Amino acid sequence: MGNNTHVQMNPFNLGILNEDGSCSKEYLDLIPDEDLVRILKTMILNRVFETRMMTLQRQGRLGFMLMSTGEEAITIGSSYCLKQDDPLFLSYRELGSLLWRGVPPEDIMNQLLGNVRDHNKGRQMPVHYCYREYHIPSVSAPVGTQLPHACGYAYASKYLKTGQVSLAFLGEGAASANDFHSAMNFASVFQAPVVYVIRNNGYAISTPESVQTAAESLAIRAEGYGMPGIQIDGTDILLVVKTIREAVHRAREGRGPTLIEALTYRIGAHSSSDDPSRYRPQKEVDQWKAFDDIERTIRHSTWRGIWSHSMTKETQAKAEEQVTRCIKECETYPPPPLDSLFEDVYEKIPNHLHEQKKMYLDYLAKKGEKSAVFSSEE
Amino acid sequence: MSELLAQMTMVQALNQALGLHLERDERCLLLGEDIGYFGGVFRVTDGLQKKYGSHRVIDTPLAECGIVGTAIGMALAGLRPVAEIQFADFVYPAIDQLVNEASKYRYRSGGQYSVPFVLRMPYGGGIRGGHYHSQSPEVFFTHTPGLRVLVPSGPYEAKGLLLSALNCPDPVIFLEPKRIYRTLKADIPKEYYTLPLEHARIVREGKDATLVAYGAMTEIAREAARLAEKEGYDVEVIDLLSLLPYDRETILHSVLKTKRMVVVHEAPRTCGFAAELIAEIQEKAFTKCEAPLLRVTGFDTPFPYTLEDHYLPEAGRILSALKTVIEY
Amino acid sequence: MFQFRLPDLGEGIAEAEIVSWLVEEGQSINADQAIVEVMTDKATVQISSPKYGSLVKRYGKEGDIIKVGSVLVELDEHDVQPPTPEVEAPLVGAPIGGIPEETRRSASDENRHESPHPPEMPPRPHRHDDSELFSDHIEDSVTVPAIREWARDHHIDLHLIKGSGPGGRIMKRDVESFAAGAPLVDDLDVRSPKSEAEDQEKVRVLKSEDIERIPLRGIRRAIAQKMTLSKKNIPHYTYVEEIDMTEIETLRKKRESIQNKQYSPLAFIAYAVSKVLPRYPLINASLDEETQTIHLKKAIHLGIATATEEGLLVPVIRNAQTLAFEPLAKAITDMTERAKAKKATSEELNGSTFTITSLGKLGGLLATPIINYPESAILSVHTIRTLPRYHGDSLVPRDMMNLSLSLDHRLIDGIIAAQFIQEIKELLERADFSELKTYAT
Repeated sequence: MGNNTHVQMNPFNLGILNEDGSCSKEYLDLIPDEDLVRILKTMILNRVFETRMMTLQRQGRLGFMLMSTGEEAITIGSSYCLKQDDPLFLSYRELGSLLWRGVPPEDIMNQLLGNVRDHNKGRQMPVHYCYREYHIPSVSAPVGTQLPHACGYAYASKYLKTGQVSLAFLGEGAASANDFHSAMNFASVFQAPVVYVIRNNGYAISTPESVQTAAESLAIRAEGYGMPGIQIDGTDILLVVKTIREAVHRAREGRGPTLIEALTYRIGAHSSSDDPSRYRPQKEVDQWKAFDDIERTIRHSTWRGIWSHSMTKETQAKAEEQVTRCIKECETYPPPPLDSLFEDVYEKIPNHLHEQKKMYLDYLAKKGEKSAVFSSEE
Repeated sequence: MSELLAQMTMVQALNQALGLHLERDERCLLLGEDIGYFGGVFRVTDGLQKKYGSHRVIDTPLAECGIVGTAIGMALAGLRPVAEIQFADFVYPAIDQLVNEASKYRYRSGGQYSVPFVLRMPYGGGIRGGHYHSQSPEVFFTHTPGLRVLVPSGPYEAKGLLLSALNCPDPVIFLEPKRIYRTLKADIPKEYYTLPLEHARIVREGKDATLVAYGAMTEIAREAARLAEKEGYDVEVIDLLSLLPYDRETILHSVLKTKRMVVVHEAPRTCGFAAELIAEIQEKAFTKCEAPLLRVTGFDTPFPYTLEDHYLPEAGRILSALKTVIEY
Repeated sequence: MFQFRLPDLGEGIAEAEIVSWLVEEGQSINADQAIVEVMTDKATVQISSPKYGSLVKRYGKEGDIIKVGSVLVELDEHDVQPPTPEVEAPLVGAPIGGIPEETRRSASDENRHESPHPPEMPPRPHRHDDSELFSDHIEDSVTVPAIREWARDHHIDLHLIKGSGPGGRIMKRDVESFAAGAPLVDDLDVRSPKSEAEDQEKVRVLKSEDIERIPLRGIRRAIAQKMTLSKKNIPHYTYVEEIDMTEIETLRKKRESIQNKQYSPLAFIAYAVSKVLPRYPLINASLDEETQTIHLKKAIHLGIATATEEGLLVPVIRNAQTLAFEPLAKAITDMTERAKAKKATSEELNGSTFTITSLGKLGGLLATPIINYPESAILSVHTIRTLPRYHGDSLVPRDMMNLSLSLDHRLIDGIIAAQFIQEIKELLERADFSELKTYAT
């Protein structure tokens, strides 16, 4: 099923960046030069980091990995528009947001490895991040569950008058899930200060956009919930920043939530477990290569006179070096101690869990397994 | 009535508890369907919106997953939300948020975040509610590490346990036996008091058999013990109050004394909570038991409408089980 | 010596098939350099070396299935990675596809001949539903419940019965007269105890002989299954005719010298087919056994059977009926090359409606080709030989070639097949392609 018509771009959201990287003078103030340089450097680090991590996965050194190729403008651009303490509710494909916030690559890699330094204490699969220090709540696998959380958090911000705005990312697949609809509805009814950003990259694993919805866009759903909805070219960094900034401003001024649908294309596979050649033609992928968001940002920055090919090479080389050092360091850390398996289920470990832990340790001791590190004291 | 005590039904006790906590904790707020303006379909939140405002006692759209998901978000931000599911039978759309999110949030974030909130829901049969207003879904929650499950059996316990839940750092499922919302009255303290979590209460001391129950069944169990007494049997009745974690010590201690146990619950038999208790106790007290450990439960059927009275365990059926174990 | 084992590629993968080695023994390998391509149930992936060193030994050859955890290669490790050469390539993973340097303008470049505009996005991903299940209105057999029950009890498939009642309804008389006809029980699956015992005897005998056992895998297995299915379902018959290709050969050589490139006779035959086939829809069709419906395909997607290292592949030229000669000839060359180079995608290897198979000089005299299921016909092209033929009264050398056409006799009667081939014969013998005529003289 699904329709066969192409999705039309909303006419009131023509792109800002031209094909050759230029833009009208009035948009030059959207992102000051030094910010744009910083954004571009973060994008390049993003791509280098993910590529190297993917290589590690293929060598068996990481259990799982996925990339956000083509979506860096959306994730970094959005974070750029937020304050440091605005909570970011991620799905899992937003490494750029973490990097922009300042989460050190080592901390990110420790999560991917699930070692003793992992902030999550090695409890979750790779890319299921959580960095409270950076106002990034926990990522989980069930699709869309973070969306009502963002609404609730936003409500609390309003209630406590903290001035925070919540921003939640989701893929276009999540826009079909139950929680999306509850979240949109509740957010709108409560006029919660939250911004929902759909990273529509065209595929939910093997499911193309046309199977995900029969409507002309996802942004159009917003109207049904009583909030503004906008569809934009997500590979245009200026347009992303302009749109998100306006939405965040609306929310902060108490004028309620916004839904933004940022279009891009998932050039890579869904994850390290996926082989997209099994469900889409190479021709389709090739069509989108001209829309690589980093390439477009480079073109624009070069046109502006603040970037050059040698800067690309230099940034890339620096990023490679940084990642190499990071890998070298993080791979030395051991797994978390066995103790940690039984902690944090509740604030205090309950008796029955205490008992289970004891039974297991006794069993290991009988087996003579001295090699297992029992507690962090050792 | 004394200045310190007041006679209340469970509904009134719960209403009072909520009011006391809203007064004390600025960060506490309530949300659910029809709880605000209307005061809740069972009137548990009656009068609270008027007093504390619609921003604190919130009427939500009709979506259980939205209610629980939003409550989780509020808890992450440092509030203390108390969400209501109108009938336990309708909790299922929120199971994803409860099982995959709330219960695991602390663990999966390495302790960085926690989700302290209370989810209240009327549960259980006896009001001619049929399939969808009578269910006892406690085991879906007791099977989920990270949640706490509390089940009061009367007005005094209801108020104390709810106030404890409201101060608990972990997510709590609070199951209110609707059958006895109004039928039991008790004199309870007007002040703010809490009861210890994970603590079972010995309702009646005895030496011939241990009878374990919770919720509305506690009163029925007491009734069965009275009948047993007439036949010369002295039955110890334990009210569990907390299902997760539950008070192993008290039960074990009792069974080691009586050597016999019967467990009662409304929920269907297979994989019901009794199965857990019996597995645990037989493991710890196997050689001491002098009879098989039995359970008296609802049948493995959906909850019936017309034949409800046959479905629900009543004192006679429990007595029969007691006699079996005592006379084994 | 560092032993690199096949890593756990995730999500329960326990083994993988080696598709191709990307490095040689003795070669110096950089860290993260791709060394082998493997195929799992889920994906085909490249595995890279975690260390820098020289490759001492490769374990396993292409086609082998290896378990996760078993050794892939042995590396003689070197301590220090040499400095990586200056990275000229675009951002790793960034599918940039080469935006040339010249188009990157600096702010000072004002030479824009047209006003710049934001680029137009390609169409969003969508999937066509190729199946005809919803587009065809398929009716279930119309009959009363009592008849259905009767048919069920007597093991009769109602789809095989034509109804004589109102609106085509199947009446009791229809089922009764049908039942009185041939028996319907398919006894192919019935195995008598005797035949099983015979099998076991055979197995025992075979075991004692000297036999090399090769597991049927990959493409070979797929071909085996497809061929069996085709022969099982389709009653084949083959029509053979000889074609005088002298005029075509003349035309072909002339064209080659004018255009200065190679053409195969196959291109001309394919072209002739693409011109004639539209008039014979049953030969570009398929029979849906389940619904007992004939699907006449409107487009001609020409499959060109190609021998490759892996086995027989059939790359497809879509909408061949719309192609002029040049594009068709080029498409045939390109597609077959891609198939041989293992570059054809699964989309390009599926979806043919009519297949041509040719072994060129190895084509022999004639054949009884097996139809590429679920198509309704397949055309086999044989060698061109110079043979003596009568032209009028004189015996002259002519370039003769046979065509063998296998057809599905459920759909196509002999006369249709004959007419089809005769039209193609005429077209080829006259070499009468108006499009090509301008080059012929």
